Amino acid sequence: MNFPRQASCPRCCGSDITARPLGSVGRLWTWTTQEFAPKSPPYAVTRSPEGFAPFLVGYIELPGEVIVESRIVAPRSQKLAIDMPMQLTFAPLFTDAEGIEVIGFAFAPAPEDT
Amino acid sequence: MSEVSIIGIGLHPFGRTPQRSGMEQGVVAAQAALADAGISWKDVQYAFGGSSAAGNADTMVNRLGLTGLPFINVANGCATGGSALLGAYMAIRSGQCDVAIAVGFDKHEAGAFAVNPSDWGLGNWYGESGLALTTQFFAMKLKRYMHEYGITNDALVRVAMKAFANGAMNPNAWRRKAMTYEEIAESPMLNDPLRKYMFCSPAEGGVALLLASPAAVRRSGGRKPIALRAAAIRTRNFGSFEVFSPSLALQRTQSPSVMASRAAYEMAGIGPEDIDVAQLQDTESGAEIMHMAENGFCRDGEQESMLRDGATLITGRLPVNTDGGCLANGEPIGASGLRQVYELCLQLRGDAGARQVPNDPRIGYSHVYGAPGVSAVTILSS
Repeated sequence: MNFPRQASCPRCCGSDITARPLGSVGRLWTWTTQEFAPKSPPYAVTRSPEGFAPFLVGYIELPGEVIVESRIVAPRSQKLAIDMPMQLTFAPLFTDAEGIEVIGFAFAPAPEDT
Repeated sequence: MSEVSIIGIGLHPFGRTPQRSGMEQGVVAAQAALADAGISWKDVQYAFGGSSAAGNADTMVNRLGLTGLPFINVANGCATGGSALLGAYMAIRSGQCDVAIAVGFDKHEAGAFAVNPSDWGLGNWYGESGLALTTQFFAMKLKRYMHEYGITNDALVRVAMKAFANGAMNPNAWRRKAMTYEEIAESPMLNDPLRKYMFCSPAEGGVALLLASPAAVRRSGGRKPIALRAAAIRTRNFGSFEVFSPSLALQRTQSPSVMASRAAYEMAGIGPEDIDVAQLQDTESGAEIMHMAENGFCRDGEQESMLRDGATLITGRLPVNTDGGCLANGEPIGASGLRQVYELCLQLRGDAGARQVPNDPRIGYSHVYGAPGVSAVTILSS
């Protein structure tokens, strides 16, 4: 299993591929902070009067499927920890040069019982 | 006598040299290697060279001399130097030539590398959404490793302290000032848990190595030859955790460094316990720690006590990155792998000056790792 989908399998070298939706809950496998502004390009321009706002990145293990790299959205007060439950969400990732806010997939900490 | 020996080494100082292009730094290194070996460019029969951001290596013949030799340009990310060395090694082992040169140089602008996602088979979305940073990968691999094996921030600081202390004894290093524990531990956080002085920076430099067959070694009147006993490169297997991966397999497997390391030990017919001095890819502090285990020098988690006990200092039982590594020399992508081998040759010749490993080291080990998951290992002996 691979994300995003591609035309051949990196494990068996085969090309008989089926697309399927991934689950939306998992556990935090690892994470980090991005505390300096990435170079642009490739980073899309973010337009903010306060300048660059640090963000979170991590890998989320989707049980029985794959470990997905994703932006993480969490309040600054929330402490991230490996193995904590996570849930798929959508979040504004950046504001492009025309001032349009671009939404993408992200994960957020979830309550323990989900 | 070994089948392939290093008979000449040359290096252009690392860091920032505004008055010289990256390629000119490569030429300086090549001419220094020729002088070291006591041979001329006309004696070189095969060349392998490369840079990531400083031009086509084969253009150097305009400066070195138009002798008609075959010159293969190499572009293999952080393994460019290692790949050039492997090319030269194989050219001699296969009997194609008696004397070959491996040269690497580079010149990068300041700040983290700017990545074009399509160069790595990724969609533009990956870079636009702020994921195309090698620094994030190193931080996330390290955070998982620290969680699994009990490595602490203390170990990360100690690696950086050692690097700058060693760099202070290396006249060719970029950062030649030792730093205190507090200066490193309190420097700005860049990618948690990694702080500013735990990361190497893109920089400039050039290195050249001359390799020779036994027949050519006998003809040359140069320095004592260093035997190149193994050179191996591996790319990633399914299930390893590598830079620029939008997803990972649930099934985990060994890294390309483990695979390249095992292949090199097998070629040389020795094991990690036989190594006297090692240069390991230290893109950041944690990389050196993880690479200690991946190259067989300890079990996962043992690094914490080894660093606390000074085992990897120049005076320790396994000196690591004696020239200051990438942390003190910076990272000119095309040159770094060859810098490691240059340093090993100095150490094995006993020519490393203030940073000489004591007790006559006889066997050296070098390891580079780079995007998108490629490792190169060499083993040398005096």
